[in-house]
Amino acid sequence: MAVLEPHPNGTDDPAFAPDATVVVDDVSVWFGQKVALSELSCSFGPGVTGLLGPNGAGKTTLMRALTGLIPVNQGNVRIEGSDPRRERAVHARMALVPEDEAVPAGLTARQFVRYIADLHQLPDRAAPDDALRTVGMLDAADRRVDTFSKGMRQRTKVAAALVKDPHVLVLDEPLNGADPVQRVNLITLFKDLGAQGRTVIVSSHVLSEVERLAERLIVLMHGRLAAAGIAPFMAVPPGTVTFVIFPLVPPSEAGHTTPHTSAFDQIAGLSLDGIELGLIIAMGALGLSLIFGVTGLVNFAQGELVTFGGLAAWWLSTWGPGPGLPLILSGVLAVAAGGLLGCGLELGMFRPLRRRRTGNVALIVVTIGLSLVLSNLYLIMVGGNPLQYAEYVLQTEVGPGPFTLTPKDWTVVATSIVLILITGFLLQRTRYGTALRAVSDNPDLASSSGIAVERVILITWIGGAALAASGGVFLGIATAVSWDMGLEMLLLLFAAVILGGIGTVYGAVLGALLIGIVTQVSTYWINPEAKNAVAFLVLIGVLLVRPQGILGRRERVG
Amino acid sequence: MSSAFQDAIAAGLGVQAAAFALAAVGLNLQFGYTGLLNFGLVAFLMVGAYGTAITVNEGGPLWLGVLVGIAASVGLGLVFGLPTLRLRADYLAIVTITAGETLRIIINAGGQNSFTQGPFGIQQFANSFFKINPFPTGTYGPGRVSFSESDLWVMTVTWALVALFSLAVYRLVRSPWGRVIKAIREDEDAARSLGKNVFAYKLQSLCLGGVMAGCAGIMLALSQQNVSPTYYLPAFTFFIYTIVILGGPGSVWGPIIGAAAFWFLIQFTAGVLTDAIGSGWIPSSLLSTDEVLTFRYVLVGLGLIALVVWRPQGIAGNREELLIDDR
Repeated sequence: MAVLEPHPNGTDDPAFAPDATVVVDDVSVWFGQKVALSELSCSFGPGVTGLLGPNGAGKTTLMRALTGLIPVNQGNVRIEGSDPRRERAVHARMALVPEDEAVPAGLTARQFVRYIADLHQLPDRAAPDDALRTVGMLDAADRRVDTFSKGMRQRTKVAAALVKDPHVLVLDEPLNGADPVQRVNLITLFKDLGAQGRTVIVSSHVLSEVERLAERLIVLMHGRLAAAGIAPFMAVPPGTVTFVIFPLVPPSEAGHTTPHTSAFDQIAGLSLDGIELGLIIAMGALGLSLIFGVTGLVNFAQGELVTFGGLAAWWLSTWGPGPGLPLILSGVLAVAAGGLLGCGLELGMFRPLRRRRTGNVALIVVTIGLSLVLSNLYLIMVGGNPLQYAEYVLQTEVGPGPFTLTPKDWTVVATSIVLILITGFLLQRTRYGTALRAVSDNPDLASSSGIAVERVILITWIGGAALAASGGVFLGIATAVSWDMGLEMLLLLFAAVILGGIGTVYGAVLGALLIGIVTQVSTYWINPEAKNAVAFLVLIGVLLVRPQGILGRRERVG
Repeated sequence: MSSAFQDAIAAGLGVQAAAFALAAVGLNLQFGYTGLLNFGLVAFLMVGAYGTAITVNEGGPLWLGVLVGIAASVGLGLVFGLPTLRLRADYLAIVTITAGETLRIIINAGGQNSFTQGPFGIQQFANSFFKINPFPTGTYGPGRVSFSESDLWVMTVTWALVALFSLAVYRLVRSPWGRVIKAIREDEDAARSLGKNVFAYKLQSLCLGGVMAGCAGIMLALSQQNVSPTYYLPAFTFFIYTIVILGGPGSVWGPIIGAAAFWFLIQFTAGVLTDAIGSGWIPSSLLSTDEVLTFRYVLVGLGLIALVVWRPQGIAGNREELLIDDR
């Protein structure tokens, strides 16, 4: 993929592409009293450029102005040197994929794309099939568009845009409504289109998405250029980071920053991201390990408990019709709700099952069923998009030397360390902690020495689920939460718990930190899409070499 | 008959039910008879399908692709089994689910031009399979319980494989080999103390069941002319578990009854719910027709829990012969 070099004539302002194909010069657009774009200047070149901004920032207006759908009130727009409002020929070389569902129901994908090709009077009869193949829709080409999922419709729209082989492709919120898997496919598709030398402009209001696909980023706020940046991690292709919030530079100072960071600094930065991820994992892993310790149950629904916290905080703070509480209060309430959920699961489900003397294998299958129930309920309730909290979205990184994080990430790190210390204190210094450790060692002995085992188990479920929920809230603050992240999280929790030694508290924390660091630092060398595979390979390796983990005891392995 | 009922009958007989039954026969051998908690079953389907697709895509004939797919399932059985079969059941579950997901992530992380074509997957590799379809063009079956000639062709082959493998399992579990694997399920130490090489028996069961799952993956991929990593999520494995437990683990008829019943119930519930929403019985603010498909999986989860708790022997199983009821 082309790495954007500094501008040849000396200004390396990231708002301007060096080999610009699309130029926006001092453009203003207003609708009546409302100013949608205000004196905006920027340009776009080959490769993928992300257009980021909250709803109402002017992204769609800019895209419509670029493609000549609306006139600009002031300034100029040029596509490959031509004015899209005056010279019709340029429309053969550019295409807009609008956000709305502009696909007529009743047509098949192939009929629709052919129809678009005919509108443009394309001579090439194979063009529709080529376009459908590019977006990976050839197999479904004869299905009716109204039977498609959101992501498939989105691909069909992209195919309709690609059919005239445009040099410039403008996509308005193309990832909206696609499920996470299709999202990945679409991102790969856009990157490939960019790598082919097309100018691809993708708008989104979700930073983490744009971060994953764009080489350059332009941020709009209230119709103005708020910031722009060249992705420094893209300049060194191996080390893409998904957990670092894009280092935004105000446009005036943009010329002074050079994205040349040494390998050491990058790895140091990644390690810090890894510690943050590790601490988030530790929240869920502590719960998993404690519950295993007192009941011997491997809870395959633990990932869903983490998701629960993240989604509950989103629901309380950000969801439109919701109560709209401040994020910090929402987080606290989400953790409390997580504890209640744990309490309900123990009293309503696991305690009666233990009374029935249900076997261990059966209980594992029960937690699998629980995970299916919870994750699909989440999908029905919050939809398929990754969700971000509305507060504290764009922050500048601070910190000593290469160890920089945004203030919200520092808060996550500090809060999770405090929570781990509190948990450790409760376990070591309180009567409940002593009782828990006794039950964990030998439930029968503990019971016969007068410890109320059932009560200890209940408190452990409440505490474990609340800790897991706090992990979800932290993850939501650091990146985003989605309905289906439970399983991915579960496997990371397994990796952490088994690496550290299952049933041990410090092992869970140690394992989580190691897993977090290993996954993040590995992205310096490998494709970030595959970073979890590294954690999982560590897990499998540990089970082969030292199945009891670093701090575990041999007899638990069996 | 109502249309929902007819659709459900079609689903219970169709390609999906047949392929899931085939995978369930394999899982039943591993889990129902040998007691291996293999949560990475979907990886066997994946390597079977990808083995076939890649071979054809690189220019090989389809029969070679099928052989490669089967060999890949055996290979995966060895890779999964050799290091992990000495571990306890819950550890085995953790390792297999993780290993399967790791493989899927690695395939997904490849680019469009890699061997596996990454998230794009491989398409149009089964043309020669449909070329030998003996059924003439048309639709077969009464009313809504009807199938196209290509669906009927895939169904015929897949159900034939189900019958073949079920018969093989029936003979195997009544052989000395079968008695050993059941003994391992009941008490591994006892089997070991009788001088049986428990590890080797487990490995054989894992590979044999894996081949059956691999064939299921091949048939599904052929019917869809498509492989892509997003299809092989761990939830797939859990559906096969639901089928095995619904039918009755450790019984020869279990996987077949389970798969047919599973798809019948899933389709029937969706049909009834959609009708109920359409006629206003369920307010669409509570559950919209788009959400019915998701809601079915909530019901699958609830059904799985209910089965394990109240009827672990499923429809056809025998309560005496049950790992899951182990106390």
